[in-house]
Amino acid sequence: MAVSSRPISIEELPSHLILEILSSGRLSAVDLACLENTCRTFRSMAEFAAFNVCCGNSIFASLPTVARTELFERCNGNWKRVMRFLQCVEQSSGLVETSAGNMQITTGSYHTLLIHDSSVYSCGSSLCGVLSHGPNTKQCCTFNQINFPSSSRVIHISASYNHAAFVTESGEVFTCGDNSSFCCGHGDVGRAIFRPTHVEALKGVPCKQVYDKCFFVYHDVVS
Amino acid sequence: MASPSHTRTVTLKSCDDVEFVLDGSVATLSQTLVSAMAEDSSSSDDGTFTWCVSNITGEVLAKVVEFCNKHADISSSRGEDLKEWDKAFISVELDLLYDLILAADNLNIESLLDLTAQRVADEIKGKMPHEIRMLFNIEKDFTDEEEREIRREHAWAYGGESLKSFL
Repeated sequence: MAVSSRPISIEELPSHLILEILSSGRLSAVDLACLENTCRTFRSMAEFAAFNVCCGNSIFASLPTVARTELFERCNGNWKRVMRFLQCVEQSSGLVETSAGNMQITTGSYHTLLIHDSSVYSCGSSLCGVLSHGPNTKQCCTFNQINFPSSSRVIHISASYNHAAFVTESGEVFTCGDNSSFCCGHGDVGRAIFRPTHVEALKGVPCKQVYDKCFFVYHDVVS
Repeated sequence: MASPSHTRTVTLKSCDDVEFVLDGSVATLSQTLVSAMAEDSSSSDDGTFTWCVSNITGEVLAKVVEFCNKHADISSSRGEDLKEWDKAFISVELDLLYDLILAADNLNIESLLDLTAQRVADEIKGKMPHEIRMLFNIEKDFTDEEEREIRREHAWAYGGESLKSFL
């Protein structure tokens, strides 16, 4: 038998490889903090990895030097905290991975929409159909699941004062709510839409994000 | 001048003398082999190229070759199927995982480095320090003074539960 020279602990891997794994953006700032608290080897490495991640972050890179320094100081000179801040900013604009599943939340003036894994829920006051529960629901005190005509999972939601928009994994866009200014995008239909309705005009145009503003829906098209 | 790598066969030799013959197109996944073949002109006549991989055993090299063959095969390298295959491939014991990381680094195979790095990251994600120590066989070597310092520094990372269990 050949004598094996393989490492028995992760610490014995070459440090450039460990650093590459830690700096790849696959771990959260808290994960790095936990790793740092295991032993001395990781104590300095995790902080350096967090510094690498921050430097490669597009939000951080777009900040002027003064703002970067200020952020670093506000985080007590700790790069893992800077990293956590940047990750929070990114996560707040999309789905968040939590121990209870993937979540995204967004609010209108009088209603709240929530994605939890593959389901979408709404609660609040149903001004002209924004809760997506049909014409008879005026109000929901607790989160109620919305029925979708599409089998594809909803991956992004957006809510404005009086309408809501949903994007599915397959790139379809659904809208509902007050439609008096035709903001839901259903052509000549000007009445209120009480259930999520597929925007036919966007058929064949796969989308990934929608933004509701007061009078229109803006969509990002996947190139 | 050496012939283009994809027209040659490559023989990989492990540190314990196990040999593997690879198609030239498969070998191009390894940047180390690509560079070595570009520099080598001695064996261009018969179209074979032999490369000895020090520090990698036949057992590990067999896995690396299996990975390269799968990923070079364009007909099977599509989307979800390959993801499933990768997932099964990388479900190995940690000792073998470390060896695969070293091999991927030695041969500079980017896709294998990515896959192994993802596996290590997945193991770390969401774990408490004591769980990470146990999993990776790490010994806690902090002095009391260092522990106090860590407690102070990391209060932010641990909101809900007690800092004691965090360490």
